[in-house]
Amino acid sequence: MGTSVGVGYSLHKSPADAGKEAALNALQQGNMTRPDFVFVFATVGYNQQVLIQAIRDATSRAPLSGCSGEGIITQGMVAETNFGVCVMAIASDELRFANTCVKSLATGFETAGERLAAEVSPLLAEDSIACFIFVDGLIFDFDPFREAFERSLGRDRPLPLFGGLAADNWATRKTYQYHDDQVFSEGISCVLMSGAGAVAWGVNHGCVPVGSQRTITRSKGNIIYEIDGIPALEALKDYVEDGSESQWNKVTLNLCLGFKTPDYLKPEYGEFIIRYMMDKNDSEGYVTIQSDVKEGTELWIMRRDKELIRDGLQAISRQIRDKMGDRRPKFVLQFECMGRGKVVYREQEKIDLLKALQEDIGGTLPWIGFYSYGEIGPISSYNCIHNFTAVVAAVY
Amino acid sequence: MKKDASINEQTGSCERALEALQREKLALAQQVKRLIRAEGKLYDYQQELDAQLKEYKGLYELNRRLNRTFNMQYIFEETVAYVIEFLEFERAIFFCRSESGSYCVCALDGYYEAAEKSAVAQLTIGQDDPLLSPFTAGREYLICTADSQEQVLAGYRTKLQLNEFFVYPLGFHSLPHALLIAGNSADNAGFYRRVDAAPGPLLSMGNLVGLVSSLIDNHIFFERMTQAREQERLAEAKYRGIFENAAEGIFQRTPEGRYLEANPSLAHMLGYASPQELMAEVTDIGQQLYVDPRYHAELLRVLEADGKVEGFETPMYRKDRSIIWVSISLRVVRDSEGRPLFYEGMSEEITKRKMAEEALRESERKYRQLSEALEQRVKEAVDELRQKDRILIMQGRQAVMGEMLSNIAHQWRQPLNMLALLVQDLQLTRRREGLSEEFIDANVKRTMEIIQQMSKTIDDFRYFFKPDREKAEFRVFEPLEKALSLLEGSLKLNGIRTEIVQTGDPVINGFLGEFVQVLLNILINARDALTSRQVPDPLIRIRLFSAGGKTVVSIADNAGGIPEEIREKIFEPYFTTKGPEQGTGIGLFMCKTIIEKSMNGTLSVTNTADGAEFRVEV
Repeated sequence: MGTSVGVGYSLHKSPADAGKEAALNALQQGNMTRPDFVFVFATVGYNQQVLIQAIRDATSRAPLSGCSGEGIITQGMVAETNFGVCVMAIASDELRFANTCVKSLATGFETAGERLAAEVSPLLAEDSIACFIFVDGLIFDFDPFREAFERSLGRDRPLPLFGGLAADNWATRKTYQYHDDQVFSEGISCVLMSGAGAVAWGVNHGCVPVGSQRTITRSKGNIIYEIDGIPALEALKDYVEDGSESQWNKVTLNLCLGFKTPDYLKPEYGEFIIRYMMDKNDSEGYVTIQSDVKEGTELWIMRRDKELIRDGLQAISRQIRDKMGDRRPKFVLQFECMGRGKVVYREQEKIDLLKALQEDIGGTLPWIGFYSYGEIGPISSYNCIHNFTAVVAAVY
Repeated sequence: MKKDASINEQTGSCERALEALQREKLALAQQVKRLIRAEGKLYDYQQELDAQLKEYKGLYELNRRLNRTFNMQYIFEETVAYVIEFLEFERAIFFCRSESGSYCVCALDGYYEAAEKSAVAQLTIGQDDPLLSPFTAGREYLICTADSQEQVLAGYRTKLQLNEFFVYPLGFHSLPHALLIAGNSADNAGFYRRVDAAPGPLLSMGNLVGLVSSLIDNHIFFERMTQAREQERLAEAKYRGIFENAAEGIFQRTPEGRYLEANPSLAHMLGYASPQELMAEVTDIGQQLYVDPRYHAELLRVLEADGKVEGFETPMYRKDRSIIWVSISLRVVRDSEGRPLFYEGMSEEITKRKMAEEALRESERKYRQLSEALEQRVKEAVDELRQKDRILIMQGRQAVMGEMLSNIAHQWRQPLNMLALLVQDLQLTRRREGLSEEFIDANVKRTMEIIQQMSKTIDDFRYFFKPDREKAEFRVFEPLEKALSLLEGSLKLNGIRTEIVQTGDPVINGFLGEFVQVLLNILINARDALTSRQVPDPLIRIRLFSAGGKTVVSIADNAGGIPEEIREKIFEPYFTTKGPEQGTGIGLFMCKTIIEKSMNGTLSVTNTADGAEFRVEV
């Protein structure tokens, strides 16, 4: 049989109708009645529980994983609205999908890594290929999580992690993770993919530094308190239009932080790792990012560059094609930073870019993704979190 | 030294260059910062532009679709769908004014739970609802924001299932033709376009409402035009049909006497084959059609004076010179300055009606004659009956008179004997002892007393039978006393006692002679009943009293009463229980006639415990 994959989406406002429509379209496109596994990405306008239940009902209660995003992506379609859901239904005798989850992230990211490893460990097999994780993007600190997860799994080579940080509509301040019937926040939804297959992926951002080098002079974990001896927010204020300080999401989309890429990542990733400032504190003047940073770290103010983004997508498709050779992906997952969506591109530009990427990688492939608050994908053999990037993982 | 100087100069030059570079760097840094800020703004505008383009494209497509339809319901449904898809409000409701004037939901879109949708679909807004008042005062829209406290709008939150909403009137005349309401529920507002008075949503709603309102106005105008044209066509067809098929003649004519327009009925009425023939051949209506042109002149005179004539009846000639009667109603049609343009009216042939009226008049005349003859016959019959009554009464009176004469004869028998004895005593005494002065005086005195008593009997008789000319008031006791006096002899002869109980001294206004006749009849009947039934202690009890403003005379006997089966018949004429040799059967009939017809009283009979009681009330 091989692998059958179908993708459906719906922009219907009713959660029950939307879930059902997207799931049935996916089943129809995949020419299946009972999938083995279902990926779901949706936006936050829906009653999430009703939405997921509708999908579960329509997909014969197949195992389900996913999360909320700022928008959804399928073949030739992007929708950054509060009402969009996409479903990928997979039926395969080559690939196996085992899903699990971890909740209560706030108890500690290291702990979360250990707990997830404990969940994944019994599911691991010789032919395990990769893990897809979908994590609450409003509170996540990747580095302690990754370190604990990899350490706890105790593998010689880290299990490749792909995924994205669940997002909302920048206003709701609540993201959702899906695991079978469950809808929850502050957690991780995880899928272990095993079997006869491989992942070809690419990661690329499109940011350039503006201005000269800065230095983090005070920090703790993923919080940057001071830059060049002044409060971090003070150091950034010249880049912020007067009166827009209160619209933090817009500020952080136009302005991101760049750190020197470690040498072992540089060949694949380039000069800078980009970090999104997911939170701030006005009274103490600090900002929060999604990975740990040490005092003395060099820092650059970065901006998105549309040309670089375009070029980066082409680089991604090249990387994937190079790895796949003449093989064709069974399906593709795309985790796209919400800072690369409608906040940068006109609607048509965005669709054109997506179509170009999809065309490059393989034409009308089953393709699903979402706009995230952070992207996860390995660089070389190192699992990394990224911001302002596109992580495209083609399973072949 | 030179070298040092050169070095110093170079150093100075480098420092200056370095300073210049530092300044340039700072300037560039500032420019970059401005660039970053500008870029942020650019992206914001870009998003707004995209949103607007999407909206305007949607509006353009909507306009194209709506312009292709004449279906109002389609317009409503497309409009609410646009609100949801392009304006990104959660819910949109279209209310349309019904014939009753209230507003009913005709379309709704957006996300509702089933129960919410069902409830909203049933909503109506009355034409007097305060929600509408601001629109009649010229308000372009109403807005209820999430924190609005305005009473009328806030009161609609529950009904509309919307926490924040716009209300826009569409197709505005005296009252809007429709209402478009768009907004969000409290739970989901955060995921939709918010309802507030910011330029963005107002512009979006304004653009849509302007378009749809104009379309609705156009459709209403078009519908009314279509309806008006159809009504005009129907009216034309209807009146043409009436004109062509009316039984009455309908026409337009000139004041000078030519027909301008005539319907087939008029032509047929006047004996012409077609309206065209009539209009061609009749060029002077007054001279050619009117039997008497003076009628025509009178018609025109009234028309000139009053502007109209109704039901003017005149004989007219038909084409074959036969005469018909016609009723004409006519009015003057004038131009804007009041000058007569033509006359128009209707003619109805009334020949048959005229004939019928003549026949009716003849019939009435005959009826009157018959009626008069009948009246005479009735009068004669009544007179005859009255004469019969009089004869009957006279017969009754004669019967009583016979009875009375018998009584007088009886009463006179003893005094006559006495007189005979006195005369004989006179003769015997002269023969025997001679007539003394004293004897003669005593004899004469006694004789005279007897004669006076006999004379009184005659007077009493005359008293009863003197004719009554007029009604007069009399004491009841008086005729009763005299009646008993007259019957005294026969009553004594039969051992019948009489008993009179009188309360007061009641009087009657009536005919005395006839009343006595009644009393005598009743008393004689009582005597006869007592006599014939041989009652052991025969008694006639008479009571006189007043009751209910009337005088009552009750005469009761103890003869056993009247059998029930004949009690109702005893007042009928010629009914008697005495046999043909003794009774005439008219006595009680006569009594009832006298009391009830002549004296407006009542005469009735009831059976008592031991006899019959006749009761006269006058």
